[in-house]
Amino acid sequence: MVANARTPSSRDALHDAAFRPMEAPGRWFWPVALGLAGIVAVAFGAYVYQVIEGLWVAGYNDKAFYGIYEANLVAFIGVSYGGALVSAVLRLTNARWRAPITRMAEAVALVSLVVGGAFAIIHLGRPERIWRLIVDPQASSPIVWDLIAISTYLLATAIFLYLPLIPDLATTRDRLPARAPRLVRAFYRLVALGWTGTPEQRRLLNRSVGAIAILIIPLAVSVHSVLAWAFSMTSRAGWHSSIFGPYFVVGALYSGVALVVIVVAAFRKAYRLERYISLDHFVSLARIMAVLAAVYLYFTFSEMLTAGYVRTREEAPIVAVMLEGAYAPAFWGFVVLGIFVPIMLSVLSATRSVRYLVLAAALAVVGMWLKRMLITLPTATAPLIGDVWGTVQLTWVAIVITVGATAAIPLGLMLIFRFMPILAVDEMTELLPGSAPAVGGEAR
Amino acid sequence: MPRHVPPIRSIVGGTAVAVMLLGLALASPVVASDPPAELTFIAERRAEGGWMLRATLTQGGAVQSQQTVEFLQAVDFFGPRWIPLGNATTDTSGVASRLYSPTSNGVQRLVARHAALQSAPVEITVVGAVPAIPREPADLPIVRAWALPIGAAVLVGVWLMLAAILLSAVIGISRSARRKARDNRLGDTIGQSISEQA
Amino acid sequence: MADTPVPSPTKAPSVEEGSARLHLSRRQALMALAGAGSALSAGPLLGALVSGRTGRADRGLLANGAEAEGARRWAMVIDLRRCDGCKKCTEACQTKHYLPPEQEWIKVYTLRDRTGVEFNVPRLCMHCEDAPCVRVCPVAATFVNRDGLVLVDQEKCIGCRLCMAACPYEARYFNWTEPTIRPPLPTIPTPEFPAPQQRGTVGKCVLCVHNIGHGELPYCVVACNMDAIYIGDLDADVATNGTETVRLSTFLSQNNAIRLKEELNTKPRVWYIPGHGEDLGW
Repeated sequence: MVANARTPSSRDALHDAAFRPMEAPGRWFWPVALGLAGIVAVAFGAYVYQVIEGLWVAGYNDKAFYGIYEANLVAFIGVSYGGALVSAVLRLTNARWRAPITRMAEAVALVSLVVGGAFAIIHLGRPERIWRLIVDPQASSPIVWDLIAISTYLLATAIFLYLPLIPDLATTRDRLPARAPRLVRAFYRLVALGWTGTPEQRRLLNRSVGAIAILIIPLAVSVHSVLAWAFSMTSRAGWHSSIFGPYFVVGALYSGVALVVIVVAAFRKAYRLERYISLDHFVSLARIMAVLAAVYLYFTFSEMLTAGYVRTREEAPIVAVMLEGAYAPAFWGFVVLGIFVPIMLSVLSATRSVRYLVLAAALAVVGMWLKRMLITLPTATAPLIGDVWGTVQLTWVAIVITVGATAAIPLGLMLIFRFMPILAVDEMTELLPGSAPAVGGEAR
Repeated sequence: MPRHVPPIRSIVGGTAVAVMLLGLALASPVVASDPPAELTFIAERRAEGGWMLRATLTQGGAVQSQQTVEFLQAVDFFGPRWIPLGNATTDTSGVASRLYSPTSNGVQRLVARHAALQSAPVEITVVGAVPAIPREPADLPIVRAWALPIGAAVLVGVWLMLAAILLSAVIGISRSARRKARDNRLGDTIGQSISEQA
Repeated sequence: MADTPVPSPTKAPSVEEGSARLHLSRRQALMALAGAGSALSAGPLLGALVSGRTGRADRGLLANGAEAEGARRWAMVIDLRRCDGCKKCTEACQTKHYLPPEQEWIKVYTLRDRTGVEFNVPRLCMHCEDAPCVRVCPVAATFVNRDGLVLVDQEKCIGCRLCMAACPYEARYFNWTEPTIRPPLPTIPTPEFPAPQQRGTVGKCVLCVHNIGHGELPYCVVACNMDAIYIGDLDADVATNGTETVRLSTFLSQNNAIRLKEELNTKPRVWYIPGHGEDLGW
């Protein structure tokens, strides 16, 4: 039950809510932030140890040359896709209900993209030489395509976050207390670009945001496609599959929307935004999640069926180990807990509550991380000559770094909303000026 | 008959003759192998391609037939080595011939051998030989030629578009803000002068 | 902000704003989609079919197949009728190149064929003419030298291990830690003789390019007691195992030589004469 955003009192309430992380975050904020920062610091220390000692400390060996870091790279960049979907696609389809959650979705996209990109460096044996990728790249390498795609998408995501933020930065500028430092005031004056909300400015902004919303979709598709192609441009059974591009994109969308659900639920609770983000938002997101889960299941089925039916000499062991062998518990666990249960929780009316939908989303995120491990490990350890499989080790270094990256995302989000309002105030005022937010387009 | 005693002279003489005859018999094989064996070798370029290697084996002028002759090529490959090119048997005229299709170009040194006998080397210059295992050319030449330029052009286009979107928004909004501020100041000035006159 | 006219939810967006957005969106959309859709295809265009041959990875090897002046086209032949699995080749290679025990640049597999017979297969880097490892290296650290040998410049390698993923023969090894076995005297490692190796880079058989360049046989060829390993030149059409010398092409065809994973079209330069140790006399 959202009050009319037009009246001064409701507008003030909206602004108060949107700026709560900046102005009155609550006593829990700094302890949690410092705790997360501590975890990230420990992870960084583990990484330094890894650089000095070599990658063996992360559990790698010649018969298991790819593992958790590569799975994390795909997973963490994958969860950044929620932003592209919620913000860009929902904008282009005129789904007004997206308004209260676009800011969080875009922020999640940016933060998780940066953290995911870090894994591209973490998995290298000589990370100090990445400058060579810029100075002397070889265009035929999928890793060069990765660099190009990720950096382009990063720029586009940053622009896509910034442009609709301009009106809100103007509001922030206006809301700055008198005792705010001059530098801060100058900063917000700079980035707000003198926005005053004139029709001309609004026209310019809408045009630009519309353009970037269109442009960011193929860019987003390209990022996860080239990430997938780093695997499928090899002849290894289990990786050399033409479905990999679309497979990874759909997987990223699924896990991305799921992460948006979790982040929105968490910040809604933490900053008391229940007034603006209702159960209907979660239901809509969960429905999208369910559809994506079904598509992902379809792709997985197609993969397993194609490989398992023909069972070439190279592919047969991978299928066997996945469906009935050492990785079978993980695989079927993923299918049940990572696909079916989230779908059930998302569509059943009995589980139509924020708690269950967040559970569904959590299962989806963890399940998709597990699935990326299932994509990476069997093929990386499968023998190409003879029949001796490699063995994977999960070491403390790898675990600590993964946990650190997981902690870096909420930390990054908490810090980001100290600089910008957590709700897209201007968009909400534009899109939802009167009655309750239109969910699924009912109230127009 | 006391006079029929064999004379010692005849015994010695007979032994000497026998020894000489024996020695002569023993010595004859040596004398019989005295004529030297010769192996001559020529290589003729064939009009239809390849070379005909001909080795003639004679001994003391007499041709030797049904003898195996092997042909070899001298190479410097991790030291001097011989590549066997194949064998041939000498026919009734003592000639062993073999067709040789070289698989690499350049100057080649060939010899013929029979047992311990090696002919004088023959040098041939091979041109236009078809390599036995040729290097396969790279495929998809058009794609190779155009992939990178097209990709780079697309990439530059995308970055220009991103820059255009960002800059047009930033510049447009700031400019509009400045114009509005100027208009406001102008409006204030006019309003002020009006109220002053009023 | 209260003065700004805000469309009510029941009315469609104002014609001016709506059509302005739509009108410009269409134009922008065409531009954006045309270019951005190509951002999608930039990936595949950029290189699925551009092999290392046209990149700098292709030093000395001309893309049109012409022969560089004075270059050789090295090849190896391994006679499986003679291999007894003694691993002296591995031992020699590891000793001479100061390799850790788990890095077997030439590795002898004991395989069992369909009839249940065990046989030994020494596998080394195939130095493929169309090497997938060269194609995927992001910094061109893996390159082809003028004689067609695939080498690794450990100064450039960033340790991404994509080449290890791409190699179908699992012929590449990674230095997961700082090498403990080092040459006795300080040596400057080169791609031709990477000793000591660098932590965090890839290493593999170099076909003893440091030897064969000046007429010395590779260490594995010398070490093999059974004379099962031959080194050859496809251009001069000759091969030798140190003892016997053969015309390479006839040797291969007469003995039905095959290459591993021929269907992958990597054009490897190592041939195998099929066998189960028939010539071992056991």
